Amino acid sequence: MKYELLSEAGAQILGLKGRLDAISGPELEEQLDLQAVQTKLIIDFTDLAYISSAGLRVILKIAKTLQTQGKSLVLCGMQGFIREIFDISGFSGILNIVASCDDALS
Amino acid sequence: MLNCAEELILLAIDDESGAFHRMIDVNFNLSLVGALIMDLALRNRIDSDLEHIYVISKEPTNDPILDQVLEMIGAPEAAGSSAVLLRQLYQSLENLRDRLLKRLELKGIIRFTENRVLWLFKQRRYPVIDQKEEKEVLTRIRETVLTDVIPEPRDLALISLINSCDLMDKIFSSSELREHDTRIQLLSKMDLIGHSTNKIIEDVQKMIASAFGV
Repeated sequence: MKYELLSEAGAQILGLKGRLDAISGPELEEQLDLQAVQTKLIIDFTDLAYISSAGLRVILKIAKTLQTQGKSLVLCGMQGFIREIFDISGFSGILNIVASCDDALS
Repeated sequence: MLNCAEELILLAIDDESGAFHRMIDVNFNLSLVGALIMDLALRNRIDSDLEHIYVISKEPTNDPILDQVLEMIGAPEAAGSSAVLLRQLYQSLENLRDRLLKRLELKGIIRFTENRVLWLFKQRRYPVIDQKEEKEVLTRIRETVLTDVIPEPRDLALISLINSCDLMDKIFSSSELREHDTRIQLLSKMDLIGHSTNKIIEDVQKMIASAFGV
């Protein structure tokens, strides 16, 4: 999996590409410095092709850490299979998911 | 710290009598298998999605039961489909409940007692002698359900399984269950392995219901 981190309008945007699973998830977790997030982290799923249960756990851990730090997490750009996984697993019920990065920034 | 399967079995024991709470055996035994799979997932040995469970590392966990399950999941004849694999494991893991109880006894958490009813029937009991672990699990589960906190993955897994084997009413009062039902149902489906376990239990219940014409 590849990812890029951008800063825009006071928020950090993390763009994920490829697969988020038990191999790439722990790497992302290790490399991502959530202390560096100012107030809001946006994760863009537009180019993510696959997410497994280990990937979902990583997203949950990020959300929990940010909640503890008083920061927010917004997920955007989900389509097809990825959106289906979030809906079926109920993650959509506790995480803030919006359609696009523009929506997440506003 | 106990693993998910040990925590689940501990929650299934009635503190007062030392006997298991009344549960449907198939549901509980399937949930124990689900708990072992979750333990392997939490130790980064397996991964899963909505359809499949697959091994990502064959490195032993040094837990004999988990290593046995890991070997079975990684075997060439093992099914890739989560549902079929769970059934295969359920049928193959003999005496799982007794093995987990033995471990809790060795850890000094429960003790085994046996007496006779009507001089004929053996009655086994497992009184909890060290309640520290059980209290810790109960506190975590209650806080996750009763507040809006974002759950820990490990607690999600356990909530899903507790719900699968109908143990929720042993942890929450009727009014808590009514008030927090939406959140319980939501949390219960958030772990994909728990999701698969629930689905199989639902299938088994449907089969039983149709067999009895319910």
